[in-house]
Amino acid sequence: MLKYTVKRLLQSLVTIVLIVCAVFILLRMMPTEYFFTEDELIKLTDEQREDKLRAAGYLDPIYVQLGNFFANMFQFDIGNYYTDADLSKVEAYAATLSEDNKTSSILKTFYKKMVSTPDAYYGKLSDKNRAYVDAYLAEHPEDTVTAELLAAYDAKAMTEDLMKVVADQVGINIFHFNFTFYLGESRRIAQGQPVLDVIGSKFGVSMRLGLISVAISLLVGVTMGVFQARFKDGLVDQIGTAYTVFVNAVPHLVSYSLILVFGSRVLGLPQRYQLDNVTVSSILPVVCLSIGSIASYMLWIRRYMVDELNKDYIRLARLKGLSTQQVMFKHVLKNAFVPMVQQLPVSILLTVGGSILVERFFAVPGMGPLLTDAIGRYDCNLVQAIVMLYASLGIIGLFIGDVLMTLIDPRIRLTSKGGSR
Amino acid sequence: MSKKKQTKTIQELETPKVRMTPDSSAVETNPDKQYDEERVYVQARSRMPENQLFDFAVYEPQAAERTGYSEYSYWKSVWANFLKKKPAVIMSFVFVFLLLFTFVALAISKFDVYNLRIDNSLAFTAPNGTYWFGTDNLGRDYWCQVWYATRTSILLSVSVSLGEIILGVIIGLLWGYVRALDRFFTELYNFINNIPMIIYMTLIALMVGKSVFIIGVALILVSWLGTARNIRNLVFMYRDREYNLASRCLGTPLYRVLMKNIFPYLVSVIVLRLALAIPSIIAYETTLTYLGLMSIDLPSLGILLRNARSYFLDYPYLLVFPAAIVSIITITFYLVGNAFSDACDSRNHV
Amino acid sequence: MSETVMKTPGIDFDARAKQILSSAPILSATDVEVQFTLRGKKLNAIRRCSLDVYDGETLAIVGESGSGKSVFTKLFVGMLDKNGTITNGSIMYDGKDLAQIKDENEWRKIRGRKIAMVTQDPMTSLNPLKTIGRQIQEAIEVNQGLHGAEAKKETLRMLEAVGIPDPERRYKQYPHEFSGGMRQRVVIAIAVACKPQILICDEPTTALDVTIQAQILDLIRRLQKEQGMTIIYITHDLGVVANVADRVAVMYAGQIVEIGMINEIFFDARHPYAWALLSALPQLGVKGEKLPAIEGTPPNLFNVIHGDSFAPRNKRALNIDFLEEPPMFDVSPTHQAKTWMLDPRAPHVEQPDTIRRLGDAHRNTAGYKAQPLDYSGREPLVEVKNMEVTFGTGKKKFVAVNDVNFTIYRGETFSLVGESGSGKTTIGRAIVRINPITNGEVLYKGRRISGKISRELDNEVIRNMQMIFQDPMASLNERAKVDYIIAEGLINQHNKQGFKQDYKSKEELSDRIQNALEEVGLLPEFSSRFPHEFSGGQRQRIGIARSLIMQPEFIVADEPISALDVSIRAQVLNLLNDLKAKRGLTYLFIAHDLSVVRFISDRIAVIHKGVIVELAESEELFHHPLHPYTKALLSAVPNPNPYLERAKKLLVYDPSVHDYSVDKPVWSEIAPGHFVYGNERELDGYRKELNQ
Repeated sequence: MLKYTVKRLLQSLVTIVLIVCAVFILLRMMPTEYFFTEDELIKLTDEQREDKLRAAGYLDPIYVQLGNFFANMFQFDIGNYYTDADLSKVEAYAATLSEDNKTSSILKTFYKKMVSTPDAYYGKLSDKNRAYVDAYLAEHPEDTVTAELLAAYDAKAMTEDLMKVVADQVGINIFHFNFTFYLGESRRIAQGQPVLDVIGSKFGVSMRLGLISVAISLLVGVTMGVFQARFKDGLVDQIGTAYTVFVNAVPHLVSYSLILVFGSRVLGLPQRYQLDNVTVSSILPVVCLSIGSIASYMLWIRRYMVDELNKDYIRLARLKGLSTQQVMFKHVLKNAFVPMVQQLPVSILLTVGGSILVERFFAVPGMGPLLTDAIGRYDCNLVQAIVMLYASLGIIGLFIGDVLMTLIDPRIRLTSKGGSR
Repeated sequence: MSKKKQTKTIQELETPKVRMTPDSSAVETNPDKQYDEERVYVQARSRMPENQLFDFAVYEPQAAERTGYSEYSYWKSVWANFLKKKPAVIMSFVFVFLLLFTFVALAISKFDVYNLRIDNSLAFTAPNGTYWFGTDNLGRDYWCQVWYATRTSILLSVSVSLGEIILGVIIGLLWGYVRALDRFFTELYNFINNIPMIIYMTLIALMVGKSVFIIGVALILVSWLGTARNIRNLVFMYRDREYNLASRCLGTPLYRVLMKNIFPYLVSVIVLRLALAIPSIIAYETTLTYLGLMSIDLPSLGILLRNARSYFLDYPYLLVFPAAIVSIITITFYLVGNAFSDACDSRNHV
Repeated sequence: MSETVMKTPGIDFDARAKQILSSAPILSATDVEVQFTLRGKKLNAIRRCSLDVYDGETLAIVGESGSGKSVFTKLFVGMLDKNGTITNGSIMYDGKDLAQIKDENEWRKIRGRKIAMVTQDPMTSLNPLKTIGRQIQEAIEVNQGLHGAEAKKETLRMLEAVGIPDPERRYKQYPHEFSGGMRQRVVIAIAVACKPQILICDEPTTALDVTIQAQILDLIRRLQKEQGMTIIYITHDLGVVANVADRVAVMYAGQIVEIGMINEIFFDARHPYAWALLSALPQLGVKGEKLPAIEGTPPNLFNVIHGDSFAPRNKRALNIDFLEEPPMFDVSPTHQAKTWMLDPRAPHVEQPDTIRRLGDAHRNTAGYKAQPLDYSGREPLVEVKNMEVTFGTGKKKFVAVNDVNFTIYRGETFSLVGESGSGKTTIGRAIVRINPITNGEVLYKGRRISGKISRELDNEVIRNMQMIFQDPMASLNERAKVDYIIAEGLINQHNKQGFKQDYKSKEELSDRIQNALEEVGLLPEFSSRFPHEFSGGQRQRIGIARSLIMQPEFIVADEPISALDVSIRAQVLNLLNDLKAKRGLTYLFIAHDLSVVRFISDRIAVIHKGVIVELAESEELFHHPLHPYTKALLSAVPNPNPYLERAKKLLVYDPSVHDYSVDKPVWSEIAPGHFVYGNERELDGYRKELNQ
């Protein structure tokens, strides 16, 4: 199981890297006009534009760009250094050295500067303060660490060894291994903000709408599907089928428009998403998000249940003397869920990821429109981040689906053979 | 006992044997191919003298061979089953009428769709005797725009769907049958499929252009995957059936195995996919147009719907006409496709 | 009644008859008619059928597919398919008319707890997602009103009762962890757990191997005794009938045409169809003679049938058979038949000879001395040397065929017999180059044809080696017309050669198609039709014509009759034998049924789990089986004589009798032409056995 998981995740990683490369290359093939704002296009001369592009690294050979991209993505930080948390411990330590308040505060600064930014600090200790330090040392000859630091200050030669000595004295470990995953900054959508922050803020909006819609559509879709299968060819079934046909066949733009007209004209709901009136203005977007997935859950549950109903073991279950109700709930429903369960996580995760059309239609500040906007404005870092996010959602969804399958169906064992996606 | 046998021989000499089995020549010679078995039977019964009843009848091996012959014909059954789906049949008629009407509508219109004048004073005229569907925000006649758009959308969706299906089927057949290609196509599929469709469309729109032709080709290039995958899975199902093993034994070449042994089994799926591709292409067209990734000089239904977005709350007719037509087209294909595929399923030949 | 039978000691069927008929019937169906609506047409599946079922008896309903036997019994549990309706008649049970019950809840009072059913295919009859224990317990909870620990205890008892060892562990397992035979035991446990009065077994052993089949029949017999159930078997297999039944009803075209005590049906049948059915058994065939086959196919029930439904296929039909439906004539108080033959005015027709042979169907084995076979002068046509076939790789590697050696000589019928999964089909397919082989080689006329070969040789192999497939429903391309299917090989050759070698014109091609059709006994007019218009036997003959048109000299026949009805089997076997005589063909005949093989083959090889364990001339093998597996297989062969069938002793093969840890087994010819697989110690034992 563990081996399988690791293998699957590694495979997924390779897929994601490949996808990122492909998108990267595709993006670089776009005409460079999209790099500039309309103003810039008018004002700047060709040379100026060229310079700007070169400065941003867009004129390097593609493999160099790609290399830089990946190099920047993973930042490693290994070695002896003081983090903020360490520094405050050092300060706290230094403050305890002397009872005298003034001395104590001077030592605090002195220690902190010496271990964090000695180069900038050399020669900055004022004579008056220096006198306090000297006085302190005279009073405490046993404090060799402070003496050594002062010597290093004078010699303008702070060493790593000395930093360690200080650390030992304070009782902290200053060897750190740090790895950061950094996707760069957004260039034009949100100037200079790290893309993860940009996505984070947008994703929250999409996720909230998505989760509500998933909950609604699972509840309504599955219930309807079960009823349709139970009373196959009855009135409920026919209404349900008419609904699925309509939703699946008619373009969403049309059905959204109809919902909008009905919602705003008849029910008086807001036409657009409003930041100051989130609850009420979310109703129409959630409805629009849900109609499609309700239809597909209905369709699938009904189809799988009808398939199961035709199987031999259902005949045997009936022959045992089980009632129709018992057969439906004890046998059919669980078995019908098996194929469903595999698809469910993907569809849930992708719903959570936001819908371009719905969010555009109701001007929701979510993930959906972000992608097209980012491409249109040559915001490469942002595009890549979004693509990675969607690809990961898909892959994780598939993985969860497979794991769920093994939990519910005893015939299936996870082997490394499965899923190559 | 011996007496009886003797009488029999004498009778044989005297009267020719009466044919008791249904006479197949009667069918062949009857021009209407109407063969009233009941009548033949009654005649035979009355012609039979009582004393011959217990004589041995003529044994016809051919008649014995024919007894189990069923008149079941697959394609006839498919057709009969299809005709039973009333909604699909009715919608097909409506669609054909609609298609023909797009030509009539433009011909009888009072305006020329290629030379519509912009006249802001006429903006948002409600439907009336001159402007049958009213006018849009620029005062242009909506009737000829709607019908022209209908034609554009049908043309676009049908040709893109056809292209997608042809490409998908060819690749799917090879992918499924030729084992050596399986790995390659599977990886390709996984790769392409993991990138959201909208990225391709956006990139293509920005890189190559937004014209109908380019977007059409782009849609084909992106959407064949689903069809190919579907066909491949089906080919896998049929590939190792015994009749294909028989063909292998007989040395049948690949192309004929694909064309004769496999392709005919996929017809229902192909038709289904084609029928369902049309609504989805129309949906794509509207979405892409709405997102501004596709631009057409002359109106398509997507453009009309996009333009209507800002006004239809006040002027609902701007939404109603294109929406109704689009719905008719897509629902028709959806219903027809499903009805046909149900009709093809021999389990439903009941 | 035949003399031999009267003398056979053991079971007294007359006493059993008296015992059974002493009480009133518990279930009584009268004039039942069932109609199906199919493609807008009416199909008369059951045509005025009457049947009485007596308490405690075992009744077998025999018939071919489409005879309505399954439909008829489904009426007793209210499980008729949705498009079928009972249009006439009544089924009285327990004071109620089952034909009138429409309400599901009403049915639940009968279904299961009064009348239960064992379904045909154990592989699909169990819910794959529920434990075996749960599925049995469900039946116990619903029908016996037990719950919790009590119900579980009862479930464990049931598992034990149907012969599933280690019930505690098995209780928690899922169906996929059970073999086919074990699953069928579970299905039986479910049915029996309902404590029914009547148990209907719908072809309970058809999907199983012979050795398992015998065990399941024994199990059902034991449970019947313990619980005092009445059992109705539905089967097409006369061997099963001979084993289990007290009374037999023969169904044809939706009617019971003859019913009587088992000895009356097997030795004193009156209906021509019952005769034909019994005579067509390959077990009764004499080598070198034609089997008395029934020509044609069962009637199409869409048509209104006048007179006797069997008349068109009956060579001794009377005129009245075509005109008036015969009534049920009484032969004895327990024996009725629906045929004009019993009318006082009808001419006397003698029972066919073959039925008399039933008495001595299991010929005495003592005193048979093998004729030393001389293969020295014969040309080896196909040689298989050290063949090994494996599927998959790594952990999933599965050795389907392991180091197999044999030689097929020109002009003989060489049979390969084994149970499902033994690798027999794999060998056949490997010879005709459908499956690649992993190790070893196949020689054809001394030349290697396995692995990579030249195009010329490949073409020669295609021309000379053909295959006939098992399932006539799957082996024909449904979407091509019969003429293309038959001509496919010729067209390939025609195109490949680049010149008109096989036929010069379209006319010549169609002539050859017509000839091929006639050769297999089909009508020329069939060539422009699609396969789905034909019955199984006709389709199988189309498949044979497809191979024959290539004029091969060697044919691999992969279970060519196992998917066919009894009456059709004889047709196809006769055809294969005729063709062999006429064209000097050589066959590799693959089968799971030893009785069929004996009639048709010169030599027989027995294969078990990918290893050929014994190979000998066919009579030799039947008389002197050596390997314990062969013995077990032979002991399980169904015998159509009820006396002998019930007297037979079943041997069970236990692979652990072989101790191959030190002494490795070899493939050795221990008598001329008689090969066995075993180690030295075993071979010594075999030699001694053979010389006794």
